[in-house]
Amino acid sequence: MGRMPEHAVLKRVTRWRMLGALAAVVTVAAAATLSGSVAQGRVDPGIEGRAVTVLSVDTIAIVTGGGTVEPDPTVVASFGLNGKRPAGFTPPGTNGAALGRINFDKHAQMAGRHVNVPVTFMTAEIANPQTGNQTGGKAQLIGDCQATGAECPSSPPGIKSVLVYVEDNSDTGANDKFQIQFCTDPASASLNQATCSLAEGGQIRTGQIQIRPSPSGGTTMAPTHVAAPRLQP
Amino acid sequence: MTKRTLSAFFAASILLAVALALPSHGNQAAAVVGNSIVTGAGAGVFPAGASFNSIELAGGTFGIGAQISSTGSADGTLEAQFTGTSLIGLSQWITINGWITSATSNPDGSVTLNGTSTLDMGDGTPPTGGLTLVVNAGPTGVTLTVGGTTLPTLPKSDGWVINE
Repeated sequence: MGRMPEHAVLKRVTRWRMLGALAAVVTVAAAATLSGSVAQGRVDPGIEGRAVTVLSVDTIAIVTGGGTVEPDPTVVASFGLNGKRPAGFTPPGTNGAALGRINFDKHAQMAGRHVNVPVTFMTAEIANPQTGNQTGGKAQLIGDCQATGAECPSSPPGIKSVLVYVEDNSDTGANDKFQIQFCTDPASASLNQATCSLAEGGQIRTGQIQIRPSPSGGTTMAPTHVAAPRLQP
Repeated sequence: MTKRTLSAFFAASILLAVALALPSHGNQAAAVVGNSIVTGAGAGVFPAGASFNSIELAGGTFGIGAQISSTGSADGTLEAQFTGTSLIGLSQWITINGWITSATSNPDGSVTLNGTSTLDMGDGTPPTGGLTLVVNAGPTGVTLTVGGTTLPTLPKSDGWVINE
């Protein structure tokens, strides 16, 4: 039985150690590249299985919406809204600053039917995971009635801010929600909801709400229409 | 020599692993900043003679929320409902529901939004989806082009269309 010279054996052992270390590094790099869910073999749990999240002043989200809602059973109102974080917004530890606008127009001859306010604060929650076309989330938009050019109901007196709560529950707009309240507290991230009126609205009648963690870059998916109730003359 | 090469490769691999593992918080904030937003809600009355698919149009409402990036891509929603009367005199509500995917601001202060839409004629037939949508919205009114057909302009008599 032949024997290898001693220095050749040492050389071979060193080489194999180096290759082993290299393999370990490549494995770590690959694991870091894979998302957590892939690496852990998770599957989409659906809406029911979503992790519990909360509205946060720090959540980065873009909120858009347009449609109609019934503030009360006898009135239809149109709404349009936008909310996003300003440039330089760097969580955590923010005060919930936001940009955007809330338009709300009751289609009835009644006092206080117009709302046109800039959004100044926002709290948001992105569903985890989102489904379909980035569906799933909730947001509170706070509009400033004291801003220049803002329009808010004058009754009851002393309204200084508007609180809009929206939910994105589907790509189609089905079960999406829009609620609006009028508050005597000035607009702030820590708005005291005890100073707000009862919420008007609820499940939207037509249209949809979209809450996304980032711009989608122009996805071309089309929603399935939410049919409005057929109103007879 | 082989040892040196392996050592250099080993060091580079460690650097690569660290770079991949670090989160990219900086891009997160920058990614959400768009250049302009378009918000609107309102109503209007069509001039006499306005019609679409043999429906004589009377009036309509709309709701818009869209955010436009510097590249022209956009995210948002448009919803419009037009009321009218069919040839046999029945009231009909036409509903257009759209996803905005790109947009441009126009010199006259209006904005052109592009996307896809679903059209519900409100006559009991199933809504038609996947139709191209072009919206021109401004302070004076809203014009929709659905599936290549331009609907009469809805003059805005109430509400707002704000491009800021």
